Amino acid sequence: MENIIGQIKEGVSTRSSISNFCRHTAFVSQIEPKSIEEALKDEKWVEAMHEELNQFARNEVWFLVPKTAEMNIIGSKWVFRNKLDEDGMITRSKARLVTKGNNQEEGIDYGETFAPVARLEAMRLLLAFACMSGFKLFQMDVKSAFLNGYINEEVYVDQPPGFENHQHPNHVFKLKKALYGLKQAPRQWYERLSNFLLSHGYERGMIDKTLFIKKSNSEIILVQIYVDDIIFGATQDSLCEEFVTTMKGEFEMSMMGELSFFIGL
Amino acid sequence: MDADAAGKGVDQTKYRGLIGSLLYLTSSRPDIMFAVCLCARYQANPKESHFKVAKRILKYLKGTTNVGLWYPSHSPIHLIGYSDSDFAGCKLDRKSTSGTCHLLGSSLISWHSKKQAYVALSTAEAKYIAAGSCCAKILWLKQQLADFGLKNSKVPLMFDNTSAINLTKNQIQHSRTKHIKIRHHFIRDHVNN
Repeated sequence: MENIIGQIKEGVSTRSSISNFCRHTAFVSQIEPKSIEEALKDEKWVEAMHEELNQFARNEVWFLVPKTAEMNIIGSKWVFRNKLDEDGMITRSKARLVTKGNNQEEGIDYGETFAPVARLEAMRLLLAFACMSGFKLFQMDVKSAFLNGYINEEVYVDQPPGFENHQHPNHVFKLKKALYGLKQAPRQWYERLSNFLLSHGYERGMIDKTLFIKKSNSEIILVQIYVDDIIFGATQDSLCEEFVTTMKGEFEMSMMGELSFFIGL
Repeated sequence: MDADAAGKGVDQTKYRGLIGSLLYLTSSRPDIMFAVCLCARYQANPKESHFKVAKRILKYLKGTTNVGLWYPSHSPIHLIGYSDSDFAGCKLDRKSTSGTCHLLGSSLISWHSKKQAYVALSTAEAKYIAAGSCCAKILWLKQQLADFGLKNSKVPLMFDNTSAINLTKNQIQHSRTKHIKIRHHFIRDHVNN
């Protein structure tokens, strides 16, 4: 009810905007809450937050430990985003727990942070090459990619706001895997993924470290990595299928099908 | 465009936001690359005249929403690089701007437009510097294609200044060319490779 009547603060809303609002509010929430208090009022966002925490549990990201004085504890906060598709329509609401990486101390909480990212030219080159040799490109993405990266340092984070554990209010979480917002998260993820691919017979590109290649006879599969988006194509379909099954065996993937819409371009 | 010191100032945040959005667009619209980069040079102290120019780009975009990159299938795969430059185009410091683009067959895959770091003393020198950066990009693309399993033995690089072309072939230092920085001469090493 509250959603339909609306808030006084919002001002005048036209009929067309209301019809638009009503059509989508059944599936996802239109607004992106700015704070946790706001989000906890909306069922949709609470569900999204639970989904995120379930993801943590599945990936065995962290475990509770008692708080001690010498720990450097990093705060955490929720970020709420509506995901859009190619036409700018909202497809789903997403809650993401992020850490406040700016509180991390170098040498204690993190060491190396560099992670390679593919250049746009590399993407275009792959695209043009695929068109010319007439093979199809596919894309998929890794769910909560950064939660897959192992963490070498001892990092403690606060319990997520709104979801504190009532039995252990003085406990903090010790991280086993990287979290979004940590300075080393992209690096750890890249390392995990590249080690995995290298151990499965893929070769890294000579200069582009985000390109992975596997050749068998005269057939070739090209895998280009853009953080958690993966674009791949092969001259033979069986190579693609093989890649998908190996990836699904290790990571939780969502297959997006043929390449259509990439990093918002 | 110039600094327009006497002009009326506009909101810097708004101007920067506009430039940022346009720069993002240049990753799929090479035609506005130079214009956007030119506007971006005046971000520190934007005036009304600059804002007007930036808005002119938006008008152009509105009229040309139907153009985009086109990657046709089954055309011959060979790499080719083009480079060009203006001469002392920037009114503030008289530096030249180089522009390059690279085509694989008939699809455009890479482009850039950048103000050169040095003041070029002649058109030949400006174009020579542009060709140098184009050459560096070609080497990268060539290596990437080799990873894809494609060998491009000799990649043509096109630019339109005879003296600059001769500069790449001729090792002799003339009085008019001996000031050209060593880093730009690396193109000579790659001419025959």
